[in-house]
Amino acid sequence: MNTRPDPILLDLPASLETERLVLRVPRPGDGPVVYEGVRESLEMLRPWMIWAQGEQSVASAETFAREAAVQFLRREAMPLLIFGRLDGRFIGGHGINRMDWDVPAFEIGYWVRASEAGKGYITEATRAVTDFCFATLGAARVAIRCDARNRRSAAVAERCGFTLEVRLRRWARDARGELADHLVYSMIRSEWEAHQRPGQP
Amino acid sequence: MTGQPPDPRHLPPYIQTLRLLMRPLGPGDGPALFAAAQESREHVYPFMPVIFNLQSVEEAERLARRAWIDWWAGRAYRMALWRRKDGALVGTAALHHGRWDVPRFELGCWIHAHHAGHGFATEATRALIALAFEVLGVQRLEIRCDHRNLASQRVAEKLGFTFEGRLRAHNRAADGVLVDEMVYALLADETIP
Repeated sequence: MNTRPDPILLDLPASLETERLVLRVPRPGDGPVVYEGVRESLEMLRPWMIWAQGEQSVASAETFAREAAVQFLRREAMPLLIFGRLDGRFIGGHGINRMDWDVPAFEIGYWVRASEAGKGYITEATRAVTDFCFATLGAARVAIRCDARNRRSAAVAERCGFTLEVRLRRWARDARGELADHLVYSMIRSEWEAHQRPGQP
Repeated sequence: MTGQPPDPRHLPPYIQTLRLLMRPLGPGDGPALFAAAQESREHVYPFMPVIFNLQSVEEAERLARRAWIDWWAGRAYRMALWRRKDGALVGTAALHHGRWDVPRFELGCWIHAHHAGHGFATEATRALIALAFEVLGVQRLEIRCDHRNLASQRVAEKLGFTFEGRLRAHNRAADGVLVDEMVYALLADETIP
């Protein structure tokens, strides 16, 4: 099937807004603010996030920001930084990690900085990114995958109305090198449309 | 030992089963592969787009040589299935889409239309399961297929794979239809019936 247009030609917004948040694609210069958020959160992130294992620095965060901007332009991924809508403070990371334009299907992921955890920001951001995938990108499927022991991540998926589809046994090595099961949650287009109808839960 | 592909010189150069001689796909296999693909197009459709899409002997030969490179690099292990009694190519079977850090691989198999229904897929798959667990040190083996592909689901169940779940609207099949992906897995310490 080569009938679809090259996604690089799609004009997409580089930011999304919610009640309390602005989510936008990283750009050069974001390194320092991202690093500050990562540094205070390493204890929370390291059990789950492969990217958080290595030495973190302003330079590594800046590299992430620049590569993220390029991935977005290539329409290979859409990494997002979460900021407070009123004060612009940095809250965490979100975004589409994988884009399969043939389906189209998207996989999303997220993290929150330690000092902003527990306020419902990730749930709010996940709802917005999910809506964006279906409404703007025309998704047939949106998925969330996480380590089966990462209860907080799974809880976000469940709160946002995603369905647990599969437990992939021994899917990956965790940060300590142990084999870990992963969970895949998804929402398909018909479910999202049902949620959109007013008067329905 | 995990995390590293084995030295390809230590891999078996072929695998013999009751009825099959399984050899890594490689240089010279293009003509037989192309002929088999041509003959079974309708049968394969729509589950095996790669083989289905082969347009020429040259393309098939390229595929076979790439498979040989992947074998040496430890990226994928693709084998041609030759029937021992007459040397007919009855299909191909592969360990592919792998990751060495776990390590895990996906099992794929395709049987020529004229030779379907004789249990060749089960026979070849059993041999690849042994290669994966006993030689390559694989922890997790998967069979994934289109939800419409009942033959693959039967093979998975017959070989003791556990059905783990159904990924809804996961793929756009070669015929353009949105399909679910069925995920089956067998772990290294699980026994094969």
